[in-house]
Amino acid sequence: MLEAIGLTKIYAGRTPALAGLDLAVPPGEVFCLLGPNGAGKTTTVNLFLDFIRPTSGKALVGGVESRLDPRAARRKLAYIPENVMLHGRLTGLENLEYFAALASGFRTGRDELASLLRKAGLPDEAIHRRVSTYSKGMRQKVGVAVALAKRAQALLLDEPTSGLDPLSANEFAGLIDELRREGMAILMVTHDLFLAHRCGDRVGIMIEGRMVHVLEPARTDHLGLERAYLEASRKGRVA
Amino acid sequence: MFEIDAHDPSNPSPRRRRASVLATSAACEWRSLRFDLGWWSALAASALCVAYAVSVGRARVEQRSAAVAQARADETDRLARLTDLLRKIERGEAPAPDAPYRDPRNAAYVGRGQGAAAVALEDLPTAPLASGLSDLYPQVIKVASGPKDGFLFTDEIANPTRLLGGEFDFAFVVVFLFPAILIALGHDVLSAEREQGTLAMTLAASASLTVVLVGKLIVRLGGVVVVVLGTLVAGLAASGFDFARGTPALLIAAAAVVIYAAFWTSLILLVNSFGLSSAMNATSLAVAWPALILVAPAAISAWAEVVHPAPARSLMILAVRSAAVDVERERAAAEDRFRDEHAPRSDSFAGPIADARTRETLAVTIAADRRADEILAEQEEQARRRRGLAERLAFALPPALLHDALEEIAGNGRTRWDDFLERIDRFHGEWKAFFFEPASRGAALTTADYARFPRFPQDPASARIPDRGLLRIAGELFAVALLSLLCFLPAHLRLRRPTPG
Amino acid sequence: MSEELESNARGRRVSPALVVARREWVELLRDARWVALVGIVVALIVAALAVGIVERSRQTRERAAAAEGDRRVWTAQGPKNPHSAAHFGQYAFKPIGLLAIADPGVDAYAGSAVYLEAHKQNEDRFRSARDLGSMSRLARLSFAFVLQIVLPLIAVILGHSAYSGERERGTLPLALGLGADPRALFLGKALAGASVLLGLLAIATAVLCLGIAIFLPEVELEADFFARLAGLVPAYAIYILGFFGLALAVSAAARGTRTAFVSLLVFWMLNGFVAPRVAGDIASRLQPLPTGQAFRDGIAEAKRAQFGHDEKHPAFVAFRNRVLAEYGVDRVEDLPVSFRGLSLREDDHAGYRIFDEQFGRLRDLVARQDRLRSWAGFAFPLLALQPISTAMAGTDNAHHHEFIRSAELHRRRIQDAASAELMEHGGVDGRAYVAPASLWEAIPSFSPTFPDARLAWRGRSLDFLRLGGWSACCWLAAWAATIRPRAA
Repeated sequence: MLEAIGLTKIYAGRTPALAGLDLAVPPGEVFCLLGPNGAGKTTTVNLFLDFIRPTSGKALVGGVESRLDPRAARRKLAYIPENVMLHGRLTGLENLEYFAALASGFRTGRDELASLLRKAGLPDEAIHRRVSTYSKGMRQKVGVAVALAKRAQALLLDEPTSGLDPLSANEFAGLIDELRREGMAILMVTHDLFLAHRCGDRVGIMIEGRMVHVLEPARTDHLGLERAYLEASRKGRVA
Repeated sequence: MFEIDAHDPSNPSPRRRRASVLATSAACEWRSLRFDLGWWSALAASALCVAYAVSVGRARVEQRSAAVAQARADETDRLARLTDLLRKIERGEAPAPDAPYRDPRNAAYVGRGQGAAAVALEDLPTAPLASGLSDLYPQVIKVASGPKDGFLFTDEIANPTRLLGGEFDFAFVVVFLFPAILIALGHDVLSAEREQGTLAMTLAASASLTVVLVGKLIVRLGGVVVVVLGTLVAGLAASGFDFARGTPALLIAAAAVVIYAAFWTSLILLVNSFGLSSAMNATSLAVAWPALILVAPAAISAWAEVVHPAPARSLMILAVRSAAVDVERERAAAEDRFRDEHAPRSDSFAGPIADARTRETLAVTIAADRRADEILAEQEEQARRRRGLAERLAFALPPALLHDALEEIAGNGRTRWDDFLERIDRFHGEWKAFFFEPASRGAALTTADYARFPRFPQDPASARIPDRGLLRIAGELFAVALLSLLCFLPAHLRLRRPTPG
Repeated sequence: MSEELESNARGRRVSPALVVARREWVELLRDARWVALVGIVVALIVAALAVGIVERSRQTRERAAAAEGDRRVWTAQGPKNPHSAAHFGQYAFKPIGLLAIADPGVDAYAGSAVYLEAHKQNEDRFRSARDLGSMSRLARLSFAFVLQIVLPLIAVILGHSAYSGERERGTLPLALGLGADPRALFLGKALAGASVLLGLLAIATAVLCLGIAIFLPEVELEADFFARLAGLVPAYAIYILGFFGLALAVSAAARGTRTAFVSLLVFWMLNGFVAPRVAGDIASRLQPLPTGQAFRDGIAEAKRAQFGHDEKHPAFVAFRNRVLAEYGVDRVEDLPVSFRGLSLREDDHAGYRIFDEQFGRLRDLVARQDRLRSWAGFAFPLLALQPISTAMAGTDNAHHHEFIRSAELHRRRIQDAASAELMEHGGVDGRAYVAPASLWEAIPSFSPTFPDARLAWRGRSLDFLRLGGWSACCWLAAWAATIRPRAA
């Protein structure tokens, strides 16, 4: 569903931000990208979204190359940034209504949207409250509801749990599990080894624009993952 | 006061010296601004505007003095021609003209037209600073013995569109553009610290936030003040400014700019003290700018216009003409005027020197003129009342106060023009007396009389800002300073309990 | 899945542009600051129009009273020599157009009356600006001021963060990441902003028309009014929309909200305050006007060729000889008409040519300055809008010149009537002739007819072109900048 072929991004006069990334995330799989700051994780997400243009290589969403037809690619995608920002003067429901309509071009019934918000874990009392009063976790949940409403086939998450308290992070992990069960291909960028281990079907470790390691959490424990990550990071630093 | 220990690494001796918070904050600000392209561009833009404004003002002053010289030359020329003709008539070398209005001996006509004195308000050295009223009044007023409305309302030739648009003078740059530059540079003086996250550290240093911010603003905005004043002095010097005469006024202008800057700085501090985002500060100040500079003055003038309507000049014209007709009825003055202008060579008309009939006509004309001047005086009083109301209402508007102060400093303000018009009024009386006296006696003007024509007094006091003007400037600057304080105090109180996040 | 099936499954199809516009409206409505700002603008419009109506009514009333009084004075002259009456003269007061309420234009800076007397064309006098005080030169509250200065500022505040703000808040990348169509976002934002601004313009227009209908019941809104309004309102619409387009373009292209805002404010100030002054300065340097002294000297110089009342003037002698030869007589006493009347008419007509030339040259210079000034309208739209606005309001230099021209025509009518009367009845000398008082009734007073809308529209196409060109460029730039907006 999400596929990167030799994906490279070089900003003028700098070392490559991303150097020949190959990656494929099939439906129903959660692929976590780990790596230190500046490893090229967010660049990868932005390339799938066509927020930036690749220097070479392709980013495909459901077989559609993002660079060539960004809208067609984005139609299949949902995107939850580190900090989901919504229109503060609108309620959670109105925000969902707005983004869902923008994404799909259809108006969905309010009851259906409210049930999606509930499904994403937003408390009932918050649904009709202005978003400016929401916590970060609540905004994240609206973001998930948007992904549900547009029936995205793939989901891009950019450090979704940073800054969330453990309870909220745990709730969020539960949501990811549910989305995977519904068959979404999920690419999640994170610094959270625990979350990566818990949710990821596969975990890729990126260093300086290259994928240096791909692990299957099912075959290793949390400590193993941490060891692999630290080793890769140290090697990268030495290099 | 608020003092912290600071160690200056650039100081080779490791001795510790005490530095004030103000100086530290200012020094820190200078270090970060040195490489700020935006700040330097704002300074360059200020310098450019002031330099251009000075050149525009200079051009205006030169144009004006050329026009005055032209009018003076015309006056000299006219009088020379008249005395020349008079001399010839007296010597019997030339025949007397066949019409009294062409006769240099006829006091009534010479005083009313041909002899008219060209009177101009002398430009002060600071005149390039503001055009003020100088483009609404004629550059040269030709005082004659007729009613005042005859010469006071002659307008200078100008393109009305240009008058409507206004002049790019120093007053405009200071009142309009200068605060905009201050706002652009200073609106985020506190909010940016909060947004960058450095505010908490600043607060943790336990220095007074007001002092820290003032230190920053002194560098950031003080730079603009220095550039504006520096460019002004340099521009004036380059165009031959008379420093010997003009320095005091220039110093007052500098004080005005500094006080005005203090007002906007306090306002910027006040807005910042509310702890809003930089964007919100920018929007609030971007609304405050037109509100204070445009909307409030416009609303006040509109209110004054409605409460005290402008004197109806059209009705004044009518009243003057009615007065003329009234006296004409008694003596059919128009008929006489016609006869005067179309004097036949017939013997029935006594020629250039007034006979009983012309003397009577003169008396009638004087009566009509007096009535006209009374009406004009009433109207001027009405106009004064209206201006008074507008000025009282503007006491809380720094831009309007400063604009007026700069016009006064340039010598083109209300008080100096009023003073000039009063002097014209006195001179007009003198002029009338000089010509009516021989005219009513039927006496002829002689070359000796020509040498004694009243001259407009070149009072040395008129070559500076009148005392009333100085008082007015002082009052206006005091009011602006007071308003700055009124903005600064609440800002300071709020800044004592700031929110770091 | 076919669209129909999809539609059944997911509900009604909606236009994404409308979805965006609706969201923008809701946000504006829920923002108390915006509601207050719009309220203030509407209050300003109402106040400006109230002042305009009060001022125009007062001036119209005063000028009508003065004109009526002038007529009384004129007809009360009693038996008199016609040329003497011509010397006494009449006053012409400038008529005020209905739309002067909306844009007072140059009226305060141009004379309001002309004295029509024998032998010379006087300059217009009594600029009301002198009585206004210097504060009114900072700004004058008028409908035009609100529309030319305040509304663009509203457009800037409305549009500057349309993209940059959403980008900084993160809602733009979210929307784009979800596959929102950038064109729909652009159209929606354009629609929302334009509807607010055009709504304000519509309110202003409605207030203008209602104000006239209610407070000036004596005025009938005729085709001419609407022909002028048809120039005024679209010009303002193009101007204000252009500003909003520019704001969108800058917002989408700028690095941040603050950069966008500052750049737009700089342009707003350049357009509203700097450009008119600098353009006026440049125009008057390139095409300087004569000083009053030089102008009057020029006329005096030209008039020296004329004989006036000087019967020893060579031109007078030549004219007398020509007339005598024409009639085949030897003495003026033998002429069948009054020679005095003839000579007055001859002198007047020579004067007409001089005045036409001198005043014509001055008028051309002023018009050339105005044309020079409006050239910069391609970059600074106020310079293209102002000529349109003042022309439609009937308060521009062209309307003023038209008043001066018609006043001068009337002066000539008086002169010609007086000379004709003298020629017919004056006898040889004419000086002794006294015309009956009924003659003054027969000579009409200056009846000002306000020029029709054709004068307002004449030569405006270039201004419309500049204004439209600028506005179109702004929207093209906005389209180009938003079709692939920066997401990060």
